[in-house]
Amino acid sequence: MLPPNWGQPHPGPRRFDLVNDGMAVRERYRPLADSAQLDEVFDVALGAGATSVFIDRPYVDFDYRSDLSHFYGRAFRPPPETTERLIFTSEHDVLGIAVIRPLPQQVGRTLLPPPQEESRYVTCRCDMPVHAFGFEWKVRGYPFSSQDGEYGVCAHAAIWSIARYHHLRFRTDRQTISGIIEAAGLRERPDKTARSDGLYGFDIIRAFRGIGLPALQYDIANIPAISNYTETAASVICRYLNSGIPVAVLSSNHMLVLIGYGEEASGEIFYIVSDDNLGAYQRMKIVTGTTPDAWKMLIVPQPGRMHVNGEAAEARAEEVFEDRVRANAGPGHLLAEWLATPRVLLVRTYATPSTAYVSGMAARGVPDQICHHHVYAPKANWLWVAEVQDPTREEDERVVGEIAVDATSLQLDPSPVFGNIDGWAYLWHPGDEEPSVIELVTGSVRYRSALGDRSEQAAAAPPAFAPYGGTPVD
Amino acid sequence: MSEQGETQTPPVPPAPSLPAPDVLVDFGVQAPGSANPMPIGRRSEYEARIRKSVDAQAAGAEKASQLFIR
Repeated sequence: MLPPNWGQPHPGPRRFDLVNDGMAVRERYRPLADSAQLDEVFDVALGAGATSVFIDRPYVDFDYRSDLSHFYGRAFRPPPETTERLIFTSEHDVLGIAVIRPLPQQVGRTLLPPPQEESRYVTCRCDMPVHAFGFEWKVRGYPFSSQDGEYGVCAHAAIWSIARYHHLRFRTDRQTISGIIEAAGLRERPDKTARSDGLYGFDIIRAFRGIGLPALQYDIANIPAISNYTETAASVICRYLNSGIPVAVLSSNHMLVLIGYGEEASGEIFYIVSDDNLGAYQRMKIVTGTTPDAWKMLIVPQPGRMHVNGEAAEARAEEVFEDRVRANAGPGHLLAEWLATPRVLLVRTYATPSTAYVSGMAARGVPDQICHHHVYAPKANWLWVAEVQDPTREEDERVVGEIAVDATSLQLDPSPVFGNIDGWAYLWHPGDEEPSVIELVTGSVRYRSALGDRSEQAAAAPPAFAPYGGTPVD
Repeated sequence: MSEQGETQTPPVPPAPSLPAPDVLVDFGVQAPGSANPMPIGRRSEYEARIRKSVDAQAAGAEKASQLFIR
């Protein structure tokens, strides 16, 4: 059943205090159906610092209109063609939006910042323009939509969220559910429509490839043995999350998206998960074993031309780092630290567009001479960067050196392109094993990591809504 | 947005500026040689990690055919 006045225009902004009236706004949509995702939308908005919510109606949503034209519009009695949009704001700024569809699974395209207690762990964030009140605003977070349970299932919602994220962050194509169904090879004839039954894992891989996001795939249980116990599920996952690349997880019947991680004091990793059944920012640990919710497979769609995966890039970077600290010309004093057992120097590797890498160097305290060297070193659009870190140092001087590997080189022979170690700078020329070497800065050179500190920190308790008074907003 | 989630305008990067025309980067010269070269066995371990990373993809593709998501 539709809420009253669905899609009726209102001659001006309708602002509600989020703490005191938020539940009355939320209850407006109860007639559509119970929705844990909508409950979560309000909780996330409040936890992220929103103080007001506006109802914006009617709202024409690109994604819902696409679903309507490809599926719902074929019904004898189709649902309304417009949606309503909730705009969450602080005192002076728009923080996020949620589109409410006239469907039982009502939460459509949503982008909210993470709640404060999870914010430091979310590595996959993008900016989305929002047009409201006569201005363009920018909201930041991870895109979310619940499945509608008819035209698409959880896998479609998860693929959509990854595709929309890469569109907003890395300028890949904008995709809709219908585009994803087409790319998976599961499109019905134009004049025939059918609800979705589901997707096999290989349908999901094909869908990603078809929308321009070729995906890596890992059998989680086999990662340690296949890698000769040099990798774990966590080491593989965190490398991509550090790159701002979401990692999809398949259990035996569900698909989730990992969008961040944190490390407990014990060293155990937890993840921030976007689950279309629950919400965009759920904290969860890996599920092992034989239960239906056990994590079986990782899928990593790649937004750029990345022929080399993270494990290979890191192995090659470590190899050339060791060559450099063994070389006659170079920081040989680091060899003992590199070979120490247990390890003194740690390696953290991430993928990045090369423009983002070079434009961020100065802010991390990389000396000017090395910045200039790396700016003018020839390089591909995408790089894998392996940071060699001394974890005993303060945050602003943790990195000892970096090796950049060409992400577009060969998977079986990844090519280092440039790097720096303790003031020495390197440039690898095509076909040459030995790089050009120069000591640009004498003395100990250390700088800040490009990767944030993900250690778990205590957070303030989230605020609470005033109890619902019993009268929903109309 | 800060790490703590406060609402802020993201920091504005320094304005782009054109480089001075006479600033040239010295990339140095090749200086091969090591008094302490990497042992062959140790290099093989790095190379094995690169090869194994391909095997992981093959295992993933096999798994993809076994899972059906509703």
